[in-house]
Amino acid sequence: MSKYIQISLMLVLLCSACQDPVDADELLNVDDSTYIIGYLSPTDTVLTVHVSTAVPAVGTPIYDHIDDIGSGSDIDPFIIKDAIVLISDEDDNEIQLTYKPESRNYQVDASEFDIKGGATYFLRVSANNKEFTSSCNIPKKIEPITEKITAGEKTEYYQDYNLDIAFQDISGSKNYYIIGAIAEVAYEGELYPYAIDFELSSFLTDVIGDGETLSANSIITNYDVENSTTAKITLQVANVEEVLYLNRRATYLNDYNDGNPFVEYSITPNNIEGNNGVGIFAGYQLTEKVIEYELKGNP
Amino acid sequence: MNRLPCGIEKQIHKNLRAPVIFKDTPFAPDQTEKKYTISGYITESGSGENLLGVSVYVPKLKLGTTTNDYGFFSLTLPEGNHEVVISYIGYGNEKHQLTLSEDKVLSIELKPSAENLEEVIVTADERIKESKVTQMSKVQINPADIQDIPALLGEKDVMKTLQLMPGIQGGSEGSSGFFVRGGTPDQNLIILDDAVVYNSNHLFGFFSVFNGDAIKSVEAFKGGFPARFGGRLSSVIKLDMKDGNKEKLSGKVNIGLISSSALLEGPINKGKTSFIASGRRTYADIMARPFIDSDKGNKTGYYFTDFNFKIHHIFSPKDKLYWSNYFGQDKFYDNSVYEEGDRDKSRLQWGNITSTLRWNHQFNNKLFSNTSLIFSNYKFKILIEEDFDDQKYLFKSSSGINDYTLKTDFDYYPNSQHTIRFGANATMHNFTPQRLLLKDEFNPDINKEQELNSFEGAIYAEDDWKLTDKLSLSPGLRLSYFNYKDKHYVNPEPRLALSYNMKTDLAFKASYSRMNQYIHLLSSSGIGLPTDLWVSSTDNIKPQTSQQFAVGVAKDFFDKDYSISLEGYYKTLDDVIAYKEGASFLAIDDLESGKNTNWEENITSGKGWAYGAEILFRKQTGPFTGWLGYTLAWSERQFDELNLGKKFYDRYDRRHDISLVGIYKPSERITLSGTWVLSTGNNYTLPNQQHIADPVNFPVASYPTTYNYSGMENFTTQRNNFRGETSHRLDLGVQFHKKKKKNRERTWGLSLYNAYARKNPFIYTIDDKDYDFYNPDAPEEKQLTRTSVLILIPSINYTFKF
Repeated sequence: MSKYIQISLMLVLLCSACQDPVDADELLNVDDSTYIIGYLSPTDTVLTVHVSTAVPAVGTPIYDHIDDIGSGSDIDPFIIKDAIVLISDEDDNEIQLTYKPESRNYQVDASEFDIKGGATYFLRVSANNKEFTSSCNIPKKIEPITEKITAGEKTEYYQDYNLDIAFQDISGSKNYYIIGAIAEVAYEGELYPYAIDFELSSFLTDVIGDGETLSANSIITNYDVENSTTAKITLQVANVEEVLYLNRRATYLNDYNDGNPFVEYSITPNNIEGNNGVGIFAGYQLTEKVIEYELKGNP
Repeated sequence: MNRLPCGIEKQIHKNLRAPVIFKDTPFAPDQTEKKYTISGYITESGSGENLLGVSVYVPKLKLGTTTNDYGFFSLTLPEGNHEVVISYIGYGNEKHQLTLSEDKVLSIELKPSAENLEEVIVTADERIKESKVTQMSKVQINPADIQDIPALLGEKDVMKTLQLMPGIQGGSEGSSGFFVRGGTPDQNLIILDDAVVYNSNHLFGFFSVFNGDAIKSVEAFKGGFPARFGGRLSSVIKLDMKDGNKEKLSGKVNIGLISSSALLEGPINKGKTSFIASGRRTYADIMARPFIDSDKGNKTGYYFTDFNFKIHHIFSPKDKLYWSNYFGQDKFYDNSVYEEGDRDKSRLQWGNITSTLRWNHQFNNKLFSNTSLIFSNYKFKILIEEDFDDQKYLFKSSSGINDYTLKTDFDYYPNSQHTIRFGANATMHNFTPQRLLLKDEFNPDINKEQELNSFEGAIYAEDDWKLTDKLSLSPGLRLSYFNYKDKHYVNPEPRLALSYNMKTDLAFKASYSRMNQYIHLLSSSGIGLPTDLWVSSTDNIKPQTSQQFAVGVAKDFFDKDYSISLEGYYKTLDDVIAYKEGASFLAIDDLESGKNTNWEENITSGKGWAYGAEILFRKQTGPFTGWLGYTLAWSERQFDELNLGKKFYDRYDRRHDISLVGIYKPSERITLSGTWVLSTGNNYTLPNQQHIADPVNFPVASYPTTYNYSGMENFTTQRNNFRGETSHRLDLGVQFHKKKKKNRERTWGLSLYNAYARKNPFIYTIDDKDYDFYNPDAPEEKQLTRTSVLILIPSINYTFKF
């Protein structure tokens, strides 16, 4: 209903409104920043850190054509390819990540550097003659994930199934969780994977009580109502550092509210230290559970 | 009651000492000197309306007082002959020669100056003006000015007029929420006849809920709060409704472009009981009906309406009863009927109801009391009913607040040095953050209600204490109490004001006040939507507190009847609340979906600082009236959980605000008016940078909310990182009056809002530049776009008074 209010308000405003582009140079005066992103987890097979240049939102031309990696636009000029990227642990073990053009990131095989739960890691990046540092902690892993699937709304075109997943919060610490699931459903002989939408309940904290059971729910839709099929569902719960939680959540909210001028824009958190450095370096632990569920047809 | 004749009537009363003494007056009158008290009520000629804040002054002795909220005054003078000057802004002066040899009761009627443009401007020190009162940081608006100042679509607006005063800033163009000395809209206590009005907006803030026709007085306190007021941090806006004409039946009809209003007032029992009723309704929906296919039952529209009703009954000169009521509502409605019996129906409505029963009792010459029983309600309701293919769906949600208040206030005048006010109040708050009924055929019904009950109470005492003939002090203490479940908050709120008269017409003033606020508004948008939710302090959400220091100078120019005041203030705010990053829309979305969320989780508390200076240069009498106001202000906030803990400027931190208001009445037939306002731009949070979107894979699957074509993602690391452009606007108005037989009058009013069509910013957005069809390979580029509203809005209205 808030949408209706906002739409109505927009209509009222538009009746007498006019829109004009404004010269942003004077109003949004911002320098380029160095953008650094890295997530660490014991389950990683490759350790990855990204280093690029963040540019002013207004007035920077972005060439919109399919480039050789197929990302949808030519982002190559923003990549910093000659940075020195080092990750170290509390025992001063250090490893350098090297730039891989195919991923446009700095990477190293995880087998060369041990990432352990509960440990602290340090990041050092030298780029554009500047030094940037950060650190992260690897949170504990949650176990186990439980789930319940029940039949939901049914029409002649589709059958919904309600998916509830639950897990127990890790006691003794403040925790931040990101929830997700991938369903792979066969339709006319093809396997279609898609992300299940938990909306904002993808982002959970233990604010309801330390050690409590946390849950999220969503809907799986089967459009092949005439045939029974088995869906392979991968349930995912990541225990993440707060900065990662806030970062992903801010990005989600800003996307979700894109174009809605009545919602305050979320500030992206930043734990990169150094002149004009932005981004995050954070740890997480991923728990996955794969289940199979028969989506019943109605021939 | 039989009316007292215009003039003076003698009665014997107890001795009552003068509450105000000025320069050249022996500060402590000779105790052996005989003193007598004059007391009584001052009313408006022709209507019997009690007038508040009227100056009763004896120039020779430089002694004076003002009438209280119910038109009562009391002044003790030495035995002998005195000239008493009665004067009130917007009304003529009355001079009375008194031979005082016993206590006297005066009943004085003042004529509105509109009836007498030849009004004699006070040419000497004959009135209690700004430099002679201890109170500072207070502005009064003459209701007649509200009628004359040009307004959007001709809708005369009390709140918009207040926003032309320094220190009281409006929000964005078109919104009615206002910000006093760096505070937030929920920190303004708006009281109509003692009842708190929770939502003062119609139509998302374009108009205020107060129908100016029924308002008798408007006072705004920005600082130096008297102890009798509490419960909000930043301001008190006190509105009093008219009591109703006790002499004859009279009325007013106003027809405007978007609404019409009517007012009727008169005696029920002449001189004893009077009533006033006024109503306003917009009629765009009614006019649109012929164009909507209503045969099948289709109906859609929006309207807002207000209704005020008050009865005043005089039991005896010492006992009076007032019952005042306000009802206001905004409503969107839509009924759609489709083929095969499918239909849907939706309603969206919000509004206030207040009802106040007040009993005035005058115990004796020294003690006057008022006791009020108050009900205040704000409710927001949504209803959606759908019936498609015989599948029924019902969604009903509401939120609101009910207040039940008992309040008693005493005015006590023990001697000439002191004017003491004391009292107590108790309020039961009943909040309903969510009441939800959801029925459909596929899910179990949801029928739940969240309720918060809390109690707020206070006792207070304040004194206007004349220490010397130059120095007056006004100490006060309010002890506030709040209870929610097992949590009890008790907070002393000291208040202090002082005034030092350097000259007869020049005073230095200073004040300190500490305030607590136990109820908070969760605002989802910052612009004041009806979905904004009032909630209580709880175990987790502490009361907001503020401390304000203010110093100033008030200077009156008696000969020219100008006044100027200059004030500086410094205010700190603690435990102010705000939504956490990105949480602002959750309250609404969760209400819709019936999710059982705890709103407290989405709230964070922090600190605020506001400081600045204000100048008000004002002329309130004569054919030309108006003011020039200037505000220089800063407003900052710091929340551990917002903006990465860094201090930031508040959204409505505006460095400069200028307002220029002029009303010119060259003759009885014409009124010309104009206002010009200029303000520094508001602050906005805009994504001013972009980085590569999702360059590192995070393994948890996320559902794409939008498809990103450019591979880039906007972001910002700083809240309120962008200051909008300066706004300025000129509004013009002209009214043509014509007197008719039997004292009837018709007025044609024309006004032009934003006369030079300035495109002031309402919002800013960052959008993609338009696609260039001639150059499809051109790079994508974003631009900053300003949306402006309310550009050059003319209006016309017709008023008929009888």
